[in-house]
Amino acid sequence: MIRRAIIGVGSAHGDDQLGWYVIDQLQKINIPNIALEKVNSPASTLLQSFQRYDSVVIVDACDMGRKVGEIIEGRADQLEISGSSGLSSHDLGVAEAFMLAQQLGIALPEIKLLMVQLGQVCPMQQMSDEVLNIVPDVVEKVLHYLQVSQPEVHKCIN
Amino acid sequence: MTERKIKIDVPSLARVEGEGALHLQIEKGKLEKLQFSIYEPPRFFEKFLEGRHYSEVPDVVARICGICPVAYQVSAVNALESLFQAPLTPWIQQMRRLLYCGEWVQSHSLHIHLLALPDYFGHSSVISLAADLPEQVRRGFAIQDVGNRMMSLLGGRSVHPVGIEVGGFHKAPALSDVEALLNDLQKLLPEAVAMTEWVAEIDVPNAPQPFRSVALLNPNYAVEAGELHTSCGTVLQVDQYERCFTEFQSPHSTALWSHFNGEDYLVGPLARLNLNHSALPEFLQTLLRKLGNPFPSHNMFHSMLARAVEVCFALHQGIEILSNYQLPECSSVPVEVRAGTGFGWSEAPRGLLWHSYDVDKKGLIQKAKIVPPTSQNQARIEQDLMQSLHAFGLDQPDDLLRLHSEKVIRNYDPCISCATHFLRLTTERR
Repeated sequence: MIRRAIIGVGSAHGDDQLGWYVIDQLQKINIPNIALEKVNSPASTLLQSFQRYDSVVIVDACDMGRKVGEIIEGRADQLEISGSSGLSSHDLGVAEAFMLAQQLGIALPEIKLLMVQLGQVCPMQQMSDEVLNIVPDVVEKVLHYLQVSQPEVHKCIN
Repeated sequence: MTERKIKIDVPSLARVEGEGALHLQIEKGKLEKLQFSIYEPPRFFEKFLEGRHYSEVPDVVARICGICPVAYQVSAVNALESLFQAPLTPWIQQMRRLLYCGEWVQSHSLHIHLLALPDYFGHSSVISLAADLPEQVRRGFAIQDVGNRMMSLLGGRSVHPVGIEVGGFHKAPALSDVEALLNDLQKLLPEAVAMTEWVAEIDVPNAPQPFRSVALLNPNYAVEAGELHTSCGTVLQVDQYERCFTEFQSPHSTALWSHFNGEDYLVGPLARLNLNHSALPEFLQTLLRKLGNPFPSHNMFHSMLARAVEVCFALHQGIEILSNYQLPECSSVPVEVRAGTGFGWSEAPRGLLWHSYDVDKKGLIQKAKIVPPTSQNQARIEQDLMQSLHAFGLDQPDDLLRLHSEKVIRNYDPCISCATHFLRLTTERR
């Protein structure tokens, strides 16, 4: 059986909560044989997840210079590291996790990336309306990847 | 006379948790001014707690730090349970220790592999280090991961866990989950021992200097509880802390400083091991003898080895506790609110963490005081830098001075966000 997971990357701050929030919504839907994980410090956790699963969907709010709330779908090899040369645990994001996996010889599973342009990451603030309103679309895309038919998705979320 | 003035600005120091700055002023070859500054804004957690019900405290204080939330939770519940005279069961005490050991494993492994090791192999980050030392880095992440899972077992999740409540835990782990984790701990302990042997072989500076170690002491090695001891012979109970320790504001730092009887002191893994080394289990005593046991040590560069030893200790504790795991009748005990002041402490990964809470008869927090380890180490860090930079040579190029300063500071694994992130260096030479 293919081992599959949806991983929401985020934090408690502003629009960065998106990944976690999407996992919360997916937990309301009974999706068999899919692991749902919330991740705060992506690198160390993702490295282990890459070895545990055959197929992973990663949901993350990012600053891509797009319109707030815009969804970008992508692959692991499309991410670029933009950070500093020296890294603390806070600086090790999804792109760094891919780079580390490559350096360590860890084979990557099949990875789909769902990235949403964030607006603000103010400490302990709520998500902005633009990002919150896009959640149903993100969930639908996740379910589409999983080939799960779920007509009640919007009802669950709203 | 020629006068040379050099100014260097490094926007942020890498590989520490948070942001800080170091200002050096060197005149005619003498270090005239040295300031280790924390400039993150204060976070006001103590004020947020005022008026909150005691039951909210563990979840609020967990938000102070993403790396050592358990330390904040345990010091808090220690204080409140002490005030309420909660009759904790041996099961609860063992599970608190297990949860705490998980935090030590993940925090120490993260520090060793992500923050400290690149310094000793000429790398700027763990990513480039991983190309040279893939097996060691991979092993480090695996150890960190099992630490996270120890935390998740009891905390529900590893980041800002939610399992602890005043009086015990919200839920007892299932036997199947315990068995799976125990199996992984048994696999990882030999890996941690190999990691410790490898760390002991890394060539670190031999730079001893005098300092006072402060840590809790416990016959089974201090983690979640103990009696405070100092290397100068002082012994204190938790409610006596403020007799000898004083917090004060330093103009160049947004985090409060702390002195022990007017002087700097060290908290953290090296201080802990200096005072608790005889309490280590026999297999670690044997390992240390084999490695030429440097503890007690006055060389701060032995901090990395101290962390590695504590990783082994914490994994071993986890195995011992989980090998005897039984489902309890109840994962918590009822508590009865009593008005008054409660005091609690524990050994966070970075050192002693002291809390006190004034609680009214309704169980509402009237006043809270939290003294984190990084605050306590600030004065010691400045003293260490002063001595270390002189020993290193003030005539060294600015880049080397900065790197050496960063290495010295990283020995303390400062968590600046806890204390109020790192390092803007300004060097002035005249």
